[in-house]
Amino acid sequence: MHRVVQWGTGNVGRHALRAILGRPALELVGLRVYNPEKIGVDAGAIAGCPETGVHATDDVEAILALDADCVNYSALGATEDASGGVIDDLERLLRAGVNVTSSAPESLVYPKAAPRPIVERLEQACAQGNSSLFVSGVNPGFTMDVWPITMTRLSREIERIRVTEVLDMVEYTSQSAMYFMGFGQSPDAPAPLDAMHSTPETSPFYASLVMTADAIGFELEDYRYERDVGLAEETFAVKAGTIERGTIAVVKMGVYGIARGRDVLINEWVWRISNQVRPEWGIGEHWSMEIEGDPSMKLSMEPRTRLDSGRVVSLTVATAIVNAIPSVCAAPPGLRSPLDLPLWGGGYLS
Amino acid sequence: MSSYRVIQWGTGNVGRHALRGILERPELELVGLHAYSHDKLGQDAGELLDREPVGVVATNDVDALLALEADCVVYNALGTTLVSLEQPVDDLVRILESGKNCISSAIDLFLFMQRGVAPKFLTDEVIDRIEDACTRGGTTLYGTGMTPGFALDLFPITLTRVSRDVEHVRITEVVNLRDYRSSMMEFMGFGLVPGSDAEMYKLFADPPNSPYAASLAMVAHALGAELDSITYEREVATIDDPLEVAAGIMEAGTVVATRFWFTGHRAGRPLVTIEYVWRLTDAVRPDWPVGHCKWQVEITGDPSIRAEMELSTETDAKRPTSITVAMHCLNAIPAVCAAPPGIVSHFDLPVFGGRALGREPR
Repeated sequence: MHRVVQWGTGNVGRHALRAILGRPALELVGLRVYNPEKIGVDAGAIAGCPETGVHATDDVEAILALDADCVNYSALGATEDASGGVIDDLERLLRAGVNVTSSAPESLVYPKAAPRPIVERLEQACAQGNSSLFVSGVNPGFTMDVWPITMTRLSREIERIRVTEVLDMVEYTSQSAMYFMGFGQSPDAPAPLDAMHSTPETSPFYASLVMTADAIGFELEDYRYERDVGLAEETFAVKAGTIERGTIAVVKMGVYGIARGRDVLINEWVWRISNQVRPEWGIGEHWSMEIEGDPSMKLSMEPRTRLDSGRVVSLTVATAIVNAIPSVCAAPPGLRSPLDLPLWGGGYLS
Repeated sequence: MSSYRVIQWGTGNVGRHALRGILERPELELVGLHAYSHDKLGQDAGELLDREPVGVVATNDVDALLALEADCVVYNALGTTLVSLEQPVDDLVRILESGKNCISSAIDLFLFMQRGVAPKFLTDEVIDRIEDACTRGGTTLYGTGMTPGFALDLFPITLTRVSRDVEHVRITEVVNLRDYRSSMMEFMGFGLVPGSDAEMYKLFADPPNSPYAASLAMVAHALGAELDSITYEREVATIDDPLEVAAGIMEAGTVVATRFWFTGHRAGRPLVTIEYVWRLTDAVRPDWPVGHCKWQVEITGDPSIRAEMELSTETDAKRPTSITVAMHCLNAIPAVCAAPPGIVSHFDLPVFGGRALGREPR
């Protein structure tokens, strides 16, 4: 039985909380929230589960005093001040001797690919606290690393791996998310996505490419990013606002890991708020993978959830780290990755 | 990159692929080759594959093989060359106590050598003997393969890494055998009238001790459960008119498609189902899945997950299964050589991939 603190109760955190409460092998002992309205509320009420007797708090000292085995850290987006805040939190927890499973920062899904100063700070904290850190999610953390790496166990030769994510965001309500994705904007407008992905240092997906390259023995020589858009042919409305004719209704991005002078590891996203525009890029919500080589492999994966707003990404980011808790608690101290932890599955039996 | 000295054991369908893989890969060095068939003995490993000689000759002299310095034995001895569990267990004990790690595709149940799994075969005595051999030799045994060894166990288990709760896991293999020039058609019940007791189905008469027991137990284990019972069911479909396939003519009224499934139950409810759909034609039972060679996973729970995997190869007989069994063995060599001594399963090794060749694009 592992004593676990859930940190954060946003889109991802609520799914994580529900997963922890459902696991017989995990005991919820604390809940860290940011929103003052949630302080003192029973964790069960926040997760939509029966009462737990564990009340939400924003008192980090009280959380540290619980002497938990693991903090499951899913503080994200709006509740997190800046990326510096996440590292400060992780460092403090690890130094205090608590193992951490976390969905941020994404570069640490493969510590070898993360910025050195951050890795050194956190390694030191782990050494001091005799604790371990594991960062994961669904992408990065699963679809462009663990999934293809595992498939290549069957490979004799690998020429190229392409993983494509297709997501339907028509039901999204957040205007800031819409802006971030570029929906409803002119194709010439400056794009936050471009700013984030154009360099390996800032792209959340670079570490995932490095992990895959290392696991299959490819030496990455270069990295490249591309964005393509599909424009609305007519003006239409979605929950988050109006999409004018001629503005962006579909975004297709790709990050490319280059070895031997060619694209070998390709991670693509198609995000859309209209099925009428560029349907050939893929419709619905799924991941697909193609491994060219011997044997050639074609895979697809389609998860579905009815919980909360039905967003499977939030759910799978949460479960990818909750399912890791027992392995991370058993691991030697330090920054861990899937390549140095024994295999696990997940899910409790309902 | 570290280098591994490897003995290849067996040169059948799987063994040939493994042997070629060892010769192709810069990080693997072939140091010995065990063959069963008398016409292969004394032949050079390279020549067996119609390649340049490599200076390693096939032998059935086990003492001489085990006297070699090697990191690992890839044990691909197969059904037809082995009559019972006795011989492979004797082989593995000798290999392991001689100080060589071993990766085996030979016996499906070696995937998950846990007490209580297929108890008729994986007896305490068998497990104790192998564990002792690992201890004496300071060596590791890993059983692996494709079906089982990957598609029926590791593949669905990997998908459950993003599961919150799981009610049921179904894995379905779909194969169209129309182009197979196999002498095994009758063994599998094709071309026989319904109700005939085909040889293959006799292997399934005792479901808890069937070859699928290990995969079922592993999926359950990944979910933190143990199975209470395993059941087996079968359906067949016949054809109204004679059907010509690569293996011959299937007469009217005989079996041209079969669907059989094993279900692991827990607390009175089905938890894991492994299902096979093998067809000679897509014209019967269109409600059963169709496809050339694919595996479907359906996880019911939150999230519910549907996944599909389709493989193809241009190598040899263009059947992916043999090559994937061999490659899974070779790709596991670094992880197994790095593992602590003892019997290991999927759950004891980290996520790893293939150290593949990275051929230039065609």
